[in-house]
Amino acid sequence: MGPKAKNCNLFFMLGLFTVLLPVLGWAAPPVSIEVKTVLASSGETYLDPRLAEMARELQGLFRYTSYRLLGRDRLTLQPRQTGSVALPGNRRLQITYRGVDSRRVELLLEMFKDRNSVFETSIRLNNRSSIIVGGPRYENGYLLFNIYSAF
Amino acid sequence: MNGASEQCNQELLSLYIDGEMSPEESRQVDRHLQHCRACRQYVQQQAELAQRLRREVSVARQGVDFQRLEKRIVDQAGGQPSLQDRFRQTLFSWKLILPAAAAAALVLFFFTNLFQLQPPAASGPSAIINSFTGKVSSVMILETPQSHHTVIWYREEAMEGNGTESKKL
Amino acid sequence: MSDPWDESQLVDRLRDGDEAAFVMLVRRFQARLYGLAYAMTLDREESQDIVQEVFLKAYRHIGTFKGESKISTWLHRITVNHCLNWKRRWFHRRRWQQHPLSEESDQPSAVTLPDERTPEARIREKQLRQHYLQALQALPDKARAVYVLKELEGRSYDEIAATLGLNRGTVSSRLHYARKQLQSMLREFKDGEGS
Repeated sequence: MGPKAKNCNLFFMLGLFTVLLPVLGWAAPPVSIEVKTVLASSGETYLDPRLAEMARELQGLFRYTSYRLLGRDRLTLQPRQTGSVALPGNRRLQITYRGVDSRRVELLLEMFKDRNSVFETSIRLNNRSSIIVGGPRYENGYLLFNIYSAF
Repeated sequence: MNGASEQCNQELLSLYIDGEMSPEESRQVDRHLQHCRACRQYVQQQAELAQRLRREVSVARQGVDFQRLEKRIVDQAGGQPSLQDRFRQTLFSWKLILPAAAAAALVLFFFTNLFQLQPPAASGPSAIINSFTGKVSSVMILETPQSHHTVIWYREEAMEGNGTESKKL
Repeated sequence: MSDPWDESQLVDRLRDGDEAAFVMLVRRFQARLYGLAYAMTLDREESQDIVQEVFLKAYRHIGTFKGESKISTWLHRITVNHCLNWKRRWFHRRRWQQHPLSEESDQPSAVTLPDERTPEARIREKQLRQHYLQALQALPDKARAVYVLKELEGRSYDEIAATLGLNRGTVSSRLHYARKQLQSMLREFKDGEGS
């Protein structure tokens, strides 16, 4: 094989690689999910240092004076796989990864309390972005769950 | 306009609110308001309602691209485009737009797919809610003002009572 | 030196077919007319179309404007008439009924409420807002037109009367009626909360 043919092969492989990689990339990459559980209350002013990134968002939207990180859970899900996170107050969040659509991660979230389903929501979340789910009363405040996903 | 609220004349209060009374009539209403709680409340509630209307309109106005609307109206009225507009039209003609868009799409495609860089800043909310069903007493979907993070805020109190309610979005 | 765009000169230039004067007219009044149209229809997209139609009508019929009232009064009159026509059209009336505000308001909104409230207060505010918009929708068109011209535009009774071709007494009674209806909505909402 002459140097010319070698060059041709190299270009062909590069071309194939260039064409296939994005296609493979679209085909169902695994998704990393992080759920941060935050207790927001109107008690003594406090901001958990681990919530620094979220602080601006939280303080911009809610009037609470105290934000305490209660837990942080990570999941890696394959398409159509379901994972589960235990939450305070005998609650559980079940997350099903349905796929990727237009660079948004399609997730099905189902919240349980005392083994009863509270709600189910289907969302399309921007890659490397998060949604905040909140509202249940807990201790002296309210629980917020920041659900982040990236693929 | 003395005595209990049923006897108060709210039509006169409307004239008072709108400044459509003579100074003497206005002073009489002022005196009445000092000791009539119902009328004071009426005046205050009308101010709240008017403010609500102005707020609704102001929010709606914020969503309008008035420059675009102006252009649409002026164009429709049959006005000739200005020289500046003609220049813009030439610069952004399809002949230039198509190759430029194709090149931009290629660059985006390679960067976002091959190298998995941060996605371009999304213009919409962080999450789109396709559906929400559940036994909750209320649910609200909000968006943070700066970074457009979607927030689902729900109340689960109804779970504990008998009157559970299924909310569907 | 006089303002080249004061009202009388603006009207003169419009009558001469001066395009720049028309641009100035649009620029000066479009946001106000949009607000008026929106308050009448509560439809953001349609309100833009209505504003466009109003200016096109003004452009074509500037010759009929006699200058006896302010140009804003004339534009308001055209806008209110367009809004009332819009409401009368069967198609839109049907659409109005088929899309209750509650559905629309449940969508993630680009509009965010002021931030200093708790989520509970936001839920209450959202419900109150729905009640308010429904009460505003439920007002008879003629009462709403008077109410909007008063509360949004701050027009005097005489100006409203001139805009809508009414007498002062009718303006006063329609305004009173609109206020009473809206207030009873507010009271029902608050009573409902208390029970």
